[in-house]
Amino acid sequence: KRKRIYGPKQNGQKENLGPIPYDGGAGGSGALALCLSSRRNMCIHERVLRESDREGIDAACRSMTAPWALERAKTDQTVETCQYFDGFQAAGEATSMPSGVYDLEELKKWGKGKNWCPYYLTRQAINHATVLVFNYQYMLDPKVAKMVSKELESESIIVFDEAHNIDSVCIEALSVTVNDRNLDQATRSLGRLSSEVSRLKASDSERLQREYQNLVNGLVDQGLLEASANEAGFASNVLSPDVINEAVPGNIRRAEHFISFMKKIVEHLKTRLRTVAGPRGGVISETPLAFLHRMITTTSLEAKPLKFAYSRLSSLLRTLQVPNLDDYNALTDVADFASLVATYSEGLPKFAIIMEPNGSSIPGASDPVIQLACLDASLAIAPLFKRFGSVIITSGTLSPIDLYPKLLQFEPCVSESFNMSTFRPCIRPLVITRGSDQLPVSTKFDDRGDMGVVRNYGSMLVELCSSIPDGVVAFFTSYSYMESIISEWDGMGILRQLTKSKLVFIETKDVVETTLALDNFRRACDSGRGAVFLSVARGKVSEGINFDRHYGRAVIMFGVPFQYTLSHILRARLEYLQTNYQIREQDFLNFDALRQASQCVGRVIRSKIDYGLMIFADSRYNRHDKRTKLPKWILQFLGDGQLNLSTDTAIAQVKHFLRVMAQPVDQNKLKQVLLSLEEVEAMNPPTQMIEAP
Amino acid sequence: MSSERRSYSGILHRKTKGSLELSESGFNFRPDRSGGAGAGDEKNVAAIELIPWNRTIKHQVSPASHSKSLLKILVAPAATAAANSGGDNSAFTFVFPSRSDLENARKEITSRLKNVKVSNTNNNNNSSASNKKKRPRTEQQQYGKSTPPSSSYITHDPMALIATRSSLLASDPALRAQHRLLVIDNGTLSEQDFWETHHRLVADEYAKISGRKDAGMSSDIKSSLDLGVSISGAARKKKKSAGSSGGTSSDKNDGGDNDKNDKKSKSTVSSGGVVHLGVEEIRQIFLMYPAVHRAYEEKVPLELSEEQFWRKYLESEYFHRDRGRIGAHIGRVNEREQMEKERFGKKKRSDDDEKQKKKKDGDKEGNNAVMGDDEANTRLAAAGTDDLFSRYERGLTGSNMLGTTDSSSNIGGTSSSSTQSKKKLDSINIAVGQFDLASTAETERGGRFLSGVDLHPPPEQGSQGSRIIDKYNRHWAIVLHPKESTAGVDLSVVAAKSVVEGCSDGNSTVEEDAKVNGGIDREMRRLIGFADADEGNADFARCTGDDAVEEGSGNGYAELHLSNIDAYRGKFGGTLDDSASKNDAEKNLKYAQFLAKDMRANTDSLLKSSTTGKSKGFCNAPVLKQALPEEKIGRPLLEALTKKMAADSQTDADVQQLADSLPEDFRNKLATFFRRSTELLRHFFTLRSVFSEDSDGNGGFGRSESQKAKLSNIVQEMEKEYGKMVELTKTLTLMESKMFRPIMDQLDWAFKLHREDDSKTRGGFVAVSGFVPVET
Repeated sequence: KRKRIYGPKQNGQKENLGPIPYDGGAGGSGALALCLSSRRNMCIHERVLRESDREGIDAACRSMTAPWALERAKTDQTVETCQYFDGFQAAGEATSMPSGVYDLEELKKWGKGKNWCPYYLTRQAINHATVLVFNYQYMLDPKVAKMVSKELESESIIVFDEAHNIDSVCIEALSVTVNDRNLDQATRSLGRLSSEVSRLKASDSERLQREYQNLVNGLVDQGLLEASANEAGFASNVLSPDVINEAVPGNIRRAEHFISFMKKIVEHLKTRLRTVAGPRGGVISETPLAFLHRMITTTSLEAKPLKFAYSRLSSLLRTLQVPNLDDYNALTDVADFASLVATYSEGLPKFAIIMEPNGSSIPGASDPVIQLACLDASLAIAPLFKRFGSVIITSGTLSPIDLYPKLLQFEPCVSESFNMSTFRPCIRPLVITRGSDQLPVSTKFDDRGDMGVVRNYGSMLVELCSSIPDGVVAFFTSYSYMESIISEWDGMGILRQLTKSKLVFIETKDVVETTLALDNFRRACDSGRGAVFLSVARGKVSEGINFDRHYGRAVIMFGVPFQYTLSHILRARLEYLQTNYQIREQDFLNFDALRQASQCVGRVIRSKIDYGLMIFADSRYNRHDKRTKLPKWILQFLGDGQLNLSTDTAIAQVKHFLRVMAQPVDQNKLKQVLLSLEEVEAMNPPTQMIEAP
Repeated sequence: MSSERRSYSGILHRKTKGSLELSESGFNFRPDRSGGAGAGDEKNVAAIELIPWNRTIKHQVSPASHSKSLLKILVAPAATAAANSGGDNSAFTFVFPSRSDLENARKEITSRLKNVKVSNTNNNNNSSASNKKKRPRTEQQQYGKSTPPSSSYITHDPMALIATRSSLLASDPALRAQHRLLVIDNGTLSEQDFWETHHRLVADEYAKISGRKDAGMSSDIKSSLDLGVSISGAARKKKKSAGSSGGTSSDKNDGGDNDKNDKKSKSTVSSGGVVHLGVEEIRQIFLMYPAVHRAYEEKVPLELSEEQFWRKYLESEYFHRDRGRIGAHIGRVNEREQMEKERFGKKKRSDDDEKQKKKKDGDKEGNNAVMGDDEANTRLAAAGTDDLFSRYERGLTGSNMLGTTDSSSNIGGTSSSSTQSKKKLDSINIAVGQFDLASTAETERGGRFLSGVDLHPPPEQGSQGSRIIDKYNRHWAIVLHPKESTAGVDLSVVAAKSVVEGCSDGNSTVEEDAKVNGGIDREMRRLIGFADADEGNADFARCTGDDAVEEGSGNGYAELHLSNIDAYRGKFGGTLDDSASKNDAEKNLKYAQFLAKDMRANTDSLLKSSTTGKSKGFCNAPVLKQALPEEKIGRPLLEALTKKMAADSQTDADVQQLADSLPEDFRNKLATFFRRSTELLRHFFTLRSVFSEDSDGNGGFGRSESQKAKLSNIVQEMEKEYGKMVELTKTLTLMESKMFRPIMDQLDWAFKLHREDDSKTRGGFVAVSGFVPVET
């Protein structure tokens, strides 16, 4: 029996279980499809749900379901436990789920009916499920991956859906950032830990002794494996093949020793930060080896115990029975940092440690940061390739597709790019290179401040908004650029003109606020008022949020969303790619910007009968090297007539397109692109699962 | 305005504690019995007998900044006392325990005084005093919040009424013509009667003038006041931008000073633009800039008058801050980036060769740039410091206005306890369906998600751009929730409320639509149905197939048209049985009964005739064979029907053609007569219905003398028109005169009714005393 595991996209994952393909091959209807998510999305306990944020929910849940809480509840009646978890425990091995497809709502309903906790239920049902759907991080982030994917058979098929950003996710999984605030918090956490330890010593020294014994026996990892499902949650961030299968070194086995060991690390990082922020500081980039060397010489710590910092810490936290692990986030970050540096210090530097005196943007206030940046995306995904037979990477915007094997270091068996199957030209990409006054528009650094460009972009937006009905979404290259151009527009009165035809919604840095704005955007579209949403490529809105149907009749991409090329992390990565994988700087930047741009414009169309405009407003899109990097399904509609347009000619095309598209759908043509039931049955078993955009 | 008495206790007056009582007629002060029990003499000193409101001259309160809350009431000597003692004004000072009490008392006294004044003026002279001309506007602004909706308010304000009527007349030529004809020239109708029939128009116009529209809100931003497009303004703007892009700080400072002077002159001297602030503008300013509202609440009218306040606002740095200085902002961001770039480039270069020299130069440059930028910033900050409004804004930033919280650090990052409490907007279920960002951000490690992945440095906090973004984000909240948004509310709460309401609404189709891929299933199913349907059943206009057609014939389908406008908002008719209130259900039942009756009336005769023909007395059920035409005649019948339908559809075009062919002159004439007669008819019928309503008590028509006269006036006018038309038609061709026929018919009908009424009342059972029939 083969398993199919999906990594769904990151955003909107709550509801994103739409049509899950059945794996009908093995057992026919005997398939069980499940999704995994965090407690916040799965909890059904009323009191716990009253907590507003994830951390609160996690803590509340742990305090009721952790083994020590259960222990205590046996003797002490006042300790509250979760009825659903108890029900689940009571059922024991008898818990089984009938085959079927369960999304989150379904799971919650079922759990409520059975009085079983859906969160733990799915954790247990992983072994029985045919199809599992969960977030990338459960697979890629080694911290979480262990508890989820450790029991999957190697014959499982892994499908990374919406995987256009997979390299970033891989890198993210192994990168740590530490700043002043974190370090202060880590110090505080250490203080709390040491008082906990001494308290425990007085009351229950046996427990500490047991832990010590375990560590002596080198059972950290084995101990983890034996732990019941509900207390897993920590595993070494260091990848399993790299973990030295050794006992924890003697000098950090005792809890007190370990705490003072960690204190030294924190202090060292603090002094490093201080020098960076100091008068003779500045941006410093070091290899892990150099960093480690300096750390060892100044703190007189050994390299070897550093590698165990993370696992030792998690063991300690478990021993101390800490319910609210998120309070120790800063400390675990530090431990993570130390472990990663120590483990990957040898050989070719695949990490860079970048210390910046000014991580934040608040002028005047210095907020120095130490960033441990992973440079090699293949590091995190390599174990997956090794372990699983079939890994499928798919997305609507994997283009150019040949760059991914290079980035992730694998040999693709099949690499295919598909056109969109459609019965009418339902998308209309337009490349606008000039304003109505024929001056080229671009967000190129040199042109960006030009008033002519700002004005042309403004009048372009106004004109488009006055000829496109319902919802329009506009993306800018970065938040700061959006801010500046908006304030310019406000000064020119362009925004006021815009409000005449559409309500203006603008993404902010605040999630809650942006959510509210989006929700009201929807309301404005529903009511027929029409609205325009101004947001940022790579922002919160650019992925996962659909502006389909009347919510988005057009997406306007102002400029090419390059990454910030002055970022030291990006510089380091580009250098790494250049020297090790022979990917040219400009190629990578183009690739990255274009996948982001197509991701943005792809928001506009989500189904066969939907239609929308994709407007690329920058003279650079006209260039061959940029344009050809768009995915095939966009390129197939991008004729010569839609290139190098000025605003007024584009408006004419827009009007024509909208008029044609608003006509009733042709019955016969629609029939051609839809599969009949027989055809679907004939396709069974499906050979390839690559989602059409 | 509360008419009952209100008393404020714990108030000091002449060092005696007591309570101040405000009542309909006046105010008095009573010392506490317990406190001043011993000293009988002092009581008399402190106690104030009831002083009527018409004696009070004015009242004053201490400014907000004052340590005590003082109320001072200036009282004219009593009429009797005045005769005795030269008429000295006396003042009473009260110390209030709290500011809020004082505010309440002040408002109450103001309103009471106003009442007294109004009744006074009403008694003295009926026409509104000319010296009040200036007042209504300010008062309206001040108390506008509590006043009832427009149409009733207008009756209290004769000035506004006149203004509204005249603006209506000015904007509508047809109405003007009617008005002249009916009121001014002929005197057929009195002024009041004429407007009575147009009261809806008046109310609408008033609402438009005062910016109080009932439904919907314009998405125009009213708060961005245009300072008149005078040449000096434009020049100033240009100068400003040049100054700032030049970057020299002294220049900038000068520019700022000039600015102020310039504007002052503009608003005081009326040479430049004049700023008009209506109620709606002020409301929007308050909503969009909470700081301004806060300042207004505290300053006006105690420290500043209304006018002073707004002048201050227009002159303030605050007002001009967000209104773009073109080129300033983008330049700054670019500068910053440029600096970074240079530094970066230098670093690289310095690694390679020519280390010392270039670095030195570069550092110098960099430092200069930093200095320049910083200096500009500090100067900007300094300029804002002495600004009244930015001070208030700084006070507000602590509280959670929309746009001031920055939670990016606390969700993704590590600090959970300290900042989280500030923003306690429940982030679960904040949105429906696909747009729930907060849930996603919190679900997994949100760091990457929140900070974005473009590595761009985030923009600085509290920059001009972010303020403008906040402004526009407030704007949609105002537009989408016009009812809830009142000055001083937290718009984020308002916006969130709508989400919650949406959730509890239970309007399944709408919410379903909002979900990820929501509605697509439905749409797809519909389209598949459409694709599969055979040609006869496919509905091309709606892209629906068999199922939908069947549904359409049933109950579940409601066509969109204006009469069920709710359907536009997703409230479809099918769900009436459950959710409709009792009242609605009753109405529906009645309507259904009426329909049934109507139908039976129509069909019964048919049935009868068909049954009498062949199956006499056999059974009442119709025989279906007869219901349908025979095959032989079926085809010709169908053809005939088609022809008829074609002809019908042509008539519209024909009419248009015919109308086009008519001479211009004739058309105008026709239109005038039509308008006049309809206007008259409208008056006629409304008057008639009013009378018949009046009549309920005694039966018969309760017309008073004047009413009767009015009606007959109208009828006379109608007759005159009729006569004119008759004259006219005599000269016209037959076809053209025929076109007057419908108008004349209508008038005829009115005459007939009028005659009937007359005869009824004449021969009626109960005649109102003094009734004199007027022959028409």
